[in-house]
Amino acid sequence: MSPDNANPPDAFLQVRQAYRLIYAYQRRVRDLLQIIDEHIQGTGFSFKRWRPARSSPPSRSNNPFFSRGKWAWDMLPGYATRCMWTRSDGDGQRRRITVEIHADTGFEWDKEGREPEPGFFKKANKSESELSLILWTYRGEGQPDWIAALNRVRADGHWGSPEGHSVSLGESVYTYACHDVPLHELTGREAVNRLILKRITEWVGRSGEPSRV
Amino acid sequence: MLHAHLRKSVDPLADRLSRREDPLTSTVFERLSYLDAPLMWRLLRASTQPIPLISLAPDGWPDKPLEATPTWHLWPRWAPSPEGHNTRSVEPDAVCHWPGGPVIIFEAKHHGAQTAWQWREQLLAAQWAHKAAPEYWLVAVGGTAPAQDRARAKELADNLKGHADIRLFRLSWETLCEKIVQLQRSSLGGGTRAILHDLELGLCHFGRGPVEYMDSLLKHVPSEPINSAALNSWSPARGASPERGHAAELYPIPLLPSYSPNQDAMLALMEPLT
Repeated sequence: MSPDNANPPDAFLQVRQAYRLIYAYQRRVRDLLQIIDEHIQGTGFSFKRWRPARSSPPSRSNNPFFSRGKWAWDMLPGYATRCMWTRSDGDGQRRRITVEIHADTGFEWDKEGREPEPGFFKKANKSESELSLILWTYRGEGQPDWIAALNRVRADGHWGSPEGHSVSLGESVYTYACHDVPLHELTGREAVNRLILKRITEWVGRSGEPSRV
Repeated sequence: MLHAHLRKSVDPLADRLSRREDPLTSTVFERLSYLDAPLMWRLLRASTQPIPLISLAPDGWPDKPLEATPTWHLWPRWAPSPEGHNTRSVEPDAVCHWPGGPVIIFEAKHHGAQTAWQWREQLLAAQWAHKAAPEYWLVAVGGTAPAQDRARAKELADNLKGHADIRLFRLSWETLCEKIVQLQRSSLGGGTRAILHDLELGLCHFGRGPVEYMDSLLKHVPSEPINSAALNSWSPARGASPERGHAAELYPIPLLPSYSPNQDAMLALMEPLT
């Protein structure tokens, strides 16, 4: 069917099909995150929070999701989701694991701050569906300044890099690594173990060192 | 009881119950005890994985079911072993004892993690409570992970030197559910089928249904390719915005200058780290 001969009944057929497919996708994302969560919590981390990575969370039930100014994206939190776990090791070391699942890496922010519009995204067949495993370690006195560390990693050109990268801010040292895994590679339990869980286990076992998985 | 919970699955009370460990344990092990012993043996054998122990018996789950009929107990209260640390009692979640065969302890976790300390206490108490049993098996149900299980097994073996009559297994709730689903496809009597169906419903109710991996997404892809432009002919707010170029033709709903509180890309990237 081409755009030229589409008609309303066809459009809603497509919507129904799309939602069914999105449900099937979201079901698998949930199962994947359950496996990852059990593994991470088994290594002494606690779940901290989750949120959509590209929009606000859906409105609460007493707050209309359709108010002026709200984005339609807010009702699609599974499009890009971010989950975080933390652990304090008690010797001045703190760690964070962030797992982001992006259904579509072709997403683009609107340069003028409007609601992002898929028509301007990269082509779907040139984009990926991807999981990012982001591993942070902090060693120092007092509260970590994660934003300063993040800015420094970005400034150093290591954002998104799988190679462990250390930055020093005053007396504190932060290490960062990011492993991107295309979702199509996570075909089953063995692949999830190899590409995600094993990396976490190895990183947890190397206290305070940059991840070089 | 299970069906009363299922019927009220949107009830907050039912939701709270589905997060608790004892109702899950009860739902599953009560029904496992209703199955004929050979079928139950087959199901557990297919669902469990041995956790290798250092210096203790490393065998897996034997092929051949035992001939006798087992006795099941949920949350039996055993006297602690003199070698154990517990002083009052030890209470495993479920125990299946074959006359003349092994005592099988099931330690169930819904959200928490297994611990070698608890395994040790239960195995020692089982040896104390069933002195004549030839073997003692512990099945860690849920709360397991291969890397941590190896460390736990080593800790257990270090603490139980001289006990060569122990086997250790892991059982994931989700794998059990997968095997139950598979078993229902085989030729079974009505009663057995009903028990297995209840087991499946119960496990799914507690969020322990079979795991779906990304490779099975393909079967959900529509035969007709999805055409996102098809909504053009329906949009009640149709009208192209000249400045939006080709995208205006594809997505003609005029966009209000709406601002989501967290739309800024950097803020969204930083937020989880604050």
